[in-house]
Amino acid sequence: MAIIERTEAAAHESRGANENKFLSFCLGSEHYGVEILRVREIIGLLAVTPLPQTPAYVKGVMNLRGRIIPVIDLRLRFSLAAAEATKETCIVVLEANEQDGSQTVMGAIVDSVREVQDIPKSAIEPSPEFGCEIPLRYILGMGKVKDKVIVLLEIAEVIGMRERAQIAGAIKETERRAA
Amino acid sequence: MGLKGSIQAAAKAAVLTDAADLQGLVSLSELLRQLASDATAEGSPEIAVRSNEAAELSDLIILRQVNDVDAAFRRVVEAIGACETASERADAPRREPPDPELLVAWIASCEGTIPDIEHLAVKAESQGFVGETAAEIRRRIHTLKGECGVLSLSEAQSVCHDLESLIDGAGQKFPVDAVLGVCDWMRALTLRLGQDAAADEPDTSAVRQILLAHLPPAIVAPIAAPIATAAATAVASRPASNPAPSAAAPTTGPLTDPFAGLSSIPEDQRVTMNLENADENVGDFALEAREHLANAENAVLSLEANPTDDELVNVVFRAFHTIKGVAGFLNLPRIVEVAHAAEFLLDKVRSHKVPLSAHVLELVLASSDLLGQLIGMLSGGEAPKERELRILVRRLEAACEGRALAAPGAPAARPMTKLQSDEAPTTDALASAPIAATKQTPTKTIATAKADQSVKVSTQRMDALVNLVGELVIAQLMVVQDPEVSTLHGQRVQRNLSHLGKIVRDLQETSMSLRMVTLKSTFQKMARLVRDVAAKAGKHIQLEVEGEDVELDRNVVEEIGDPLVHMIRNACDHGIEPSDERRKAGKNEIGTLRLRACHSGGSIVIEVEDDGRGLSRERILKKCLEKGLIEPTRNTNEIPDSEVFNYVFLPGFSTAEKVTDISGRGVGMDVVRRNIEALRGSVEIHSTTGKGSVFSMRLPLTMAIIDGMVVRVGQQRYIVPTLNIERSFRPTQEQLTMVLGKGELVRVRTGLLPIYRLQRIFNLNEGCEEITDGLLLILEIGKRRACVFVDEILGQQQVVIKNLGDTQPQIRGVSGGAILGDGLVALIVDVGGLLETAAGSTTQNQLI
Repeated sequence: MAIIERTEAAAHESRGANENKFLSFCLGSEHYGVEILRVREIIGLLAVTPLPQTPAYVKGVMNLRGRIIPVIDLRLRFSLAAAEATKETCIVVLEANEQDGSQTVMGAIVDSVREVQDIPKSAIEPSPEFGCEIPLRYILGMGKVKDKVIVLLEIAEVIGMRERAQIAGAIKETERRAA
Repeated sequence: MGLKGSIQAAAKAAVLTDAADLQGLVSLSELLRQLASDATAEGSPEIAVRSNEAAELSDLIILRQVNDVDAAFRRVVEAIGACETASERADAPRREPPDPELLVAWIASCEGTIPDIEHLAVKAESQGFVGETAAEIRRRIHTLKGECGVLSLSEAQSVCHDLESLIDGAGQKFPVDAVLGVCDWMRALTLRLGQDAAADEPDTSAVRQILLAHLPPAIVAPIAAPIATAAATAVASRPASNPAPSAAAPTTGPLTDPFAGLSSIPEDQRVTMNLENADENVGDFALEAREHLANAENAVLSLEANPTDDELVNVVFRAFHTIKGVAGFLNLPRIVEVAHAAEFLLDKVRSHKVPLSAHVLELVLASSDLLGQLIGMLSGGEAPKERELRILVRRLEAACEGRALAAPGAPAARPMTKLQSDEAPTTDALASAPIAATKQTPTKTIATAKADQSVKVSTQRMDALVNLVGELVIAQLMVVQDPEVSTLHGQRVQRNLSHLGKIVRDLQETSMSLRMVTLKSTFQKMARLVRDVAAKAGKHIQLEVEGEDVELDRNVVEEIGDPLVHMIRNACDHGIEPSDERRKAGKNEIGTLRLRACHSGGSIVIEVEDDGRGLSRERILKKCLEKGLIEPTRNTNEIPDSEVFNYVFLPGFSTAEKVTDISGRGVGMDVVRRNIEALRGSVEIHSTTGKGSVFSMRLPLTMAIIDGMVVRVGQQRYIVPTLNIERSFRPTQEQLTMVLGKGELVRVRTGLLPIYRLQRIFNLNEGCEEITDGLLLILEIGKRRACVFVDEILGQQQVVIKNLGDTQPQIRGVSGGAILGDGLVALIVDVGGLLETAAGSTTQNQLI
């Protein structure tokens, strides 16, 4: 019991310290960021088993230390052109807490991972109304770091419930077309 | 009840007031006098004397006629505490041995608590009196006391109570010796209860002496004095209190309108429970309570057949008693209310004050149902109706007085017997008065809790462990199969590796067995079902159960409940004939239903057998022809039984002439087959007209592992369940036929089968194109058969089934994933879905 409390306290503490930290990565020339607390780990690109009937951006499933997790290609997800894998291409394992208490874990393929940056709340602006290829609900805000602007992503939206519903819908669509 | 209520009221009032609060003291004194009169009425002289004394004392405090008001007030509180203990002690001889499971859990927890208390006591001594430490010890002892109370360990409870008062009254000099003495005594007690019936019986008188030696005289006197006078007072006060019982038993009043006041409760008002302060034990409680209810129901059912078996009544009583106790402990008043009413009735039955009638059994079952609902609320279930609860409690109360009160709407039944309430309590009171004589031998009443020691573990943790072991197996395989490792020729390395392999396999087996549970609880539920359905259908059916100790994966056990319900309902409603029809057919009037479980060839077979009329082949065939399921040209005599009987599993297929509220809509058997197939099992029917029928389900031992064939298509590997593979072969060109617009076919011994290419179904851009270069698997599921084309078979292996991420939506044709020896994921093919998808899309594929 005591141990659990202690780790919870520690988690709480680290949460405080990491609250404004974002992991930035690249898709094409654009810089994106996700809250570091939502990042479980970063792994090199490895073999992914394709899933039939899923939309193209769902690359398939992979083995994360005994647990099977789905992997999506963020480029395709955001309707960017597909790119050849390079040495820098990697998978960011993200997690999102759902409203029903469950946790979604998903891998996201990105072109390259940059760094972990402190972006204080004051440096985050609401996303613009237009002029962005990513649907608005995916965006947490625009983070300003030095002279750059980083698109901060709302992970719960990118990999969460709504997203799953969309994938399910896409699968149904494929099935319908096949029939 | 009345007495306990007044004691509680007084205790509450005492907590809320102090010596300075005059108004509080006045009401406290009133409560105490009320308590005293209640106690005399109920024949508890000890309580009467003490409460009287406390009342007088509080009056003195009010009038400020004592020197030290605070000390005096403490004595008042003390006296109330003593009343509580006395009332509990008076209950004790009637109490049942505690539930062995609870007892085991408690003993285990004592192994931690007692040394803790000792440690604290020693600390308190070495550091001088430290208020906080003392308070901590007191808290622990108080908890211990409560636990003893729940477990009906009255002796231990009173020892703890005395120790508690001792610490309270000790002031600056902490009674370390007494605490340690009690700890030793408790340890001896737990040892005796726990493992070793032969261990020395803890010496209660010694520990009492220790306690007494430490008691300051001011406290000793009020405790010791009343005992001597108690018996005398009891006799003296008895005649005066004769008119009291009628007032104390208000339930006799509403004979004219038994449900008076209930009509004011709105029809749809639900029971509410305040769960805000519910602690974490509530989950455990719900789990245990369900088990108790299941046991109780089971015992009630046996009682119907065997109404004279007192032990069965005891079993039921114990179940309700335990639920009440723990619910009270967890502060769940609504549950206590129902459980108490039922317990009270059962107590009367137990002491033969109320005869065991069908009405009583019905009420007990109704209480069990209602409690089930209330307990369901703890886990977010729907609340039962408030009025139902009230009505049930009133009916239970009425039954205690021997009146059978029908539910409102039905005519009230006539009184059955008169309860003689006066004689018995008098003797009880005299017997229980002198507490010095209540030297109990715990072993007599308490079944030695030697039962299997077990630990409750959350399913989440267990699943995590099973998953981890699964990973370990994979990791171990990866090491062993690593090309670099396999080139090592050192004998030691190979020996150690094989040793490791053995341990890992054992570990896997053990972890799998953690998930196994017996079918007992499921079968017990079915016993209840048979009873209810038989009663509704007006039939006599006896249930014979066999193999309830067979173990199955927890998930499987959870899933077979529904199919079993449908099969048993069908058997009771349609299978077994009414008594007169049975008599005419020369059968025993009482129908027999057998529920059997056994191991058979790596799977579990569960059979539901009835000796009823059997399935009617003619009726089914007629229905099939009506529905166009069978070609009218077919010679019906040639259709095998197995095929005919299989039609009853079709949705909407029913040969029942009339739809009853139990069955007949043709939904049930469809559910049965679907659920069983979802468990990767199968179901078969054997039936002989006039003799009865057998429904047998074959289920896998576990859902976690599947025996699969690893096949390759291009770079991808898939796992096909071996269960669904009939055989595999490499076709020759001559066997192949192409039907334009229909697809490819292959001729096998039994005829023509369609060929589906896995690569096309799964949209792969790789793999063999030429059918003669690859392999065909003949797959079979239900009645559907087809060939699936793959590049080659890599081998057969058992794999651990994993879902494709908790988030992944269902994909047709894929039932999950498995991690292979090289750490990569292979998809497990869901043959049913695959064939369905393929059949749907073939036309399109082949035209391209």
